Amino acid sequence: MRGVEVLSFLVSTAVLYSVYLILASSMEIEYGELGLPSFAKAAFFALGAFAVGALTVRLGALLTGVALEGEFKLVSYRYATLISASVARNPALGLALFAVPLLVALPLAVLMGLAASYPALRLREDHLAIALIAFSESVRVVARNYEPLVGGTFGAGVVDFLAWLRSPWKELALLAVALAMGFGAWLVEYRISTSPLGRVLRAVRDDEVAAQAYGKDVARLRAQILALGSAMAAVAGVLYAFYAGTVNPDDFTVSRTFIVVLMVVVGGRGNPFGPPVGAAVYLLLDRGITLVKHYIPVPFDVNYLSYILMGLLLILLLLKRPGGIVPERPLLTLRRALPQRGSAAAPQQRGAEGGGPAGT
Amino acid sequence: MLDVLVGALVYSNLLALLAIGLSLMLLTCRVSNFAHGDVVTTGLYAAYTASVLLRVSPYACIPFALLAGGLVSLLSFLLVFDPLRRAGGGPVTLMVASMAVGIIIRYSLHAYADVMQRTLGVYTRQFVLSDFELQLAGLRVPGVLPLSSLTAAVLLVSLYVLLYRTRLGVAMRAAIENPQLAESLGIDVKRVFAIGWFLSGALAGAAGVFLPFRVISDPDVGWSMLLPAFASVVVGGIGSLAGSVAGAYVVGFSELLLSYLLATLGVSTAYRPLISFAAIVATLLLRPKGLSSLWSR
Amino acid sequence: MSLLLEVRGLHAGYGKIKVLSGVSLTVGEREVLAVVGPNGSGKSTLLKAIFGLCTVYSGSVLFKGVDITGLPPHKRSLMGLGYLPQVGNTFEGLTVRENLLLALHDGSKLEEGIGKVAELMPELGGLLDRRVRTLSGGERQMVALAMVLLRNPSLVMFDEPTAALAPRVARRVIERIAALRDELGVSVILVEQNARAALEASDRALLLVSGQPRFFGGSSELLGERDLVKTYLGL
Repeated sequence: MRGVEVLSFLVSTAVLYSVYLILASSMEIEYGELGLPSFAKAAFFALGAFAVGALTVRLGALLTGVALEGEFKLVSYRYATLISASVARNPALGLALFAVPLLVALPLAVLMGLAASYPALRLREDHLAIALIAFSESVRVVARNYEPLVGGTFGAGVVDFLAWLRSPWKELALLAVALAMGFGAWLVEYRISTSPLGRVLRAVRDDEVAAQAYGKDVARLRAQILALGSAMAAVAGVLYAFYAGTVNPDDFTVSRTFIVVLMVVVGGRGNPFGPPVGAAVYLLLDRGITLVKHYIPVPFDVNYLSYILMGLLLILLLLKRPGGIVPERPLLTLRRALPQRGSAAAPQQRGAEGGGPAGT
Repeated sequence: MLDVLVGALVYSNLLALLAIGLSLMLLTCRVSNFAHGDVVTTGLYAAYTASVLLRVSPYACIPFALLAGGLVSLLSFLLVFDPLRRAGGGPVTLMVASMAVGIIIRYSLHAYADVMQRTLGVYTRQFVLSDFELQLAGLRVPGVLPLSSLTAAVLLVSLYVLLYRTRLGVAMRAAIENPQLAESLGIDVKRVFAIGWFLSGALAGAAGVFLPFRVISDPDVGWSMLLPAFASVVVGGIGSLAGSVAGAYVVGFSELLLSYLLATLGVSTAYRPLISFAAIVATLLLRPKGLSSLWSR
Repeated sequence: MSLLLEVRGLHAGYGKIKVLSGVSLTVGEREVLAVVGPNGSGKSTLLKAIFGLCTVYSGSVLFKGVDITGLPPHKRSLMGLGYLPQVGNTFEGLTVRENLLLALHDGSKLEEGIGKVAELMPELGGLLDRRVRTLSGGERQMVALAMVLLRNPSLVMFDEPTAALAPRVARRVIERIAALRDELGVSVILVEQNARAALEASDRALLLVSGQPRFFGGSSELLGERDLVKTYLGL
């Protein structure tokens, strides 16, 4: 019994870590590398989750020949359980129910990402951030009120796509899927950040006009990166919905976006290792406080404390170590070039680069 | 219909109190302050606590709300925004920092609400306060209508007088336009900005006093006013103080009147926030200077 | 003649970017110093360093015999050092009256100050309630100059006051600035592109080339140095 509890705690932590790793990686590419405050992250995350919430029950009912009766918001949980029972006998059905929402969410996210690049070209960065936050909240307001989508404030039930596996294997399979997706997303981010493309992104971030002068098509670059980042967030949403077993629009607030930004800033903007570090720090704090909450004697809910600590951590880092825990490294080419010049000043300069926070 | 108009006017009064502060903070520190809604909530709980302790109407406790909101805002300037601004933090970095400040304030208030409920034995979540009613020109109106209008008018006019009729106000506008020149003329820019932040916070705090008379209140209630307040700033024209006030009334009235209109067509009023969100996006994309383009070139 | 300003071995720049190396100069009372040299020689940086607006690595600035190297700009201004930057020298969103109000150390003397300005620059008298943004370029420069003079400076530093003006007007403005010495008894440092006009109107001259002083002495002597003048000033 004890072993099962530990396993499920570990699995849920690892799955959440994967979800946040995907989100943070996408935010790192967009905001950390390209300098685009894509603060509608929660909406793209929600898009993936909504695809799961809106589709698994309906599609499952269609494929198993069950007729849905009653209002969706009232019956979705009941049908989710019913269809999960069918999945237990039919693994192929489970896989289909996993794949279809993903295949629906991805192109939608790409399209929405491309649409978001339209204001991105026209607005100053802080105005863009506000516009995207307003857009993100609009998506949430519509989803919580338009009940046929994912049941409004009732939320929607999600079919257990791994119902055909027994207990330890089921958790382990979910773990494997989550880790594969999480580290896959991070690998994409890592490859981009360390490739010539990453250098171009950071060049655009630091001086858009200069990058344009060197013949970089900034508009196209932004559209591509936003499409990619949005698709990644949607994947995270799909994973999160299957993990949670339910989809609730109010889960996708501005605070969710803020937490992802926090991970990127805490980890280190512009460093490919920022997202894994930032997501780990967040989960350590969050889960750590949950674990010890019974031992902290305060006359209020201890969860508030974890939010307050998170806010303080971010502000302290911005003030004292703006580069984050693993700051952006200076360009590789520059480093290689310095010793070759063989001047006496080279070692000193390298020392200065390593010591100071990476300039932004 | 009278209810809708009353609601729109009260709501617009509060938006105006918030929006002018948001504008002032944008002008001084280039920060879109996402903590400003939570300053409203700070004022709300300060006045509520004082009214329970002193056994007087919350309306009589507006000074406490002014002070609490002003102090929280001033502290955030001195401890976070001014150092970040000096360190060369860009507008998005400052915005992210303001979200963190907002979260610290909001969850501190959540914790405070627990403590207050326990020690004072009053509801601190999902509560409304009962208002008195007045006979005005043969119509029965809630007290929050004249009182919020009066408060907004007095505070906004005072701010106008300060900014345009006193040396401090001239110095503040000068420091906003050209901090380096202001400094070389002997103006203590940091002090002048700090005063601006205190005033912005005080106005937001005062707005908080009126909220529990209109909406179900809890420590998140101010946060929910933030985006409409930003909509007011954007619609009014970013950087224009007079525009923000005008924008507040445009946004406030269009939100309530449009959702009333749509409700008669069978659309749920729960979609109301979409009106101000759409106003933000549309104004930024189509008419970035907002209403202020009507009177300035 | 007693020294008003003395700059000794000044090395200055912006953060890591060094602009000036080893500049020394002196300005006496009622003296006009012209600072000339090719573009990018650090002429404007020299004024900023004297006023405390950029990084000083070594060297010192003495004003009225006091070392002011570490003093913040507004304290230097209170000591009687006036600085008129090339751009951003007025608050454009404010009215002329408000600009003048801010320039006064003591706001209560506004009427007195305005009287003085109206005397010196009668053109400004009718513009007091106009926003600076709505004025012409020349009028704006006038407001900026009025702001500096209202602070009763003993030394006024001008950074290319003629940069946006037609050559003929420029010569008049330069002569007008040099005349301030006699009207108000102030000293002047004038950074100028119009080298000939500046040299003709000034007592002494500093030639800066790539951040280093190439000549410091009487203006007419510099005009006599045919090689220097031809190479660096194109005269």
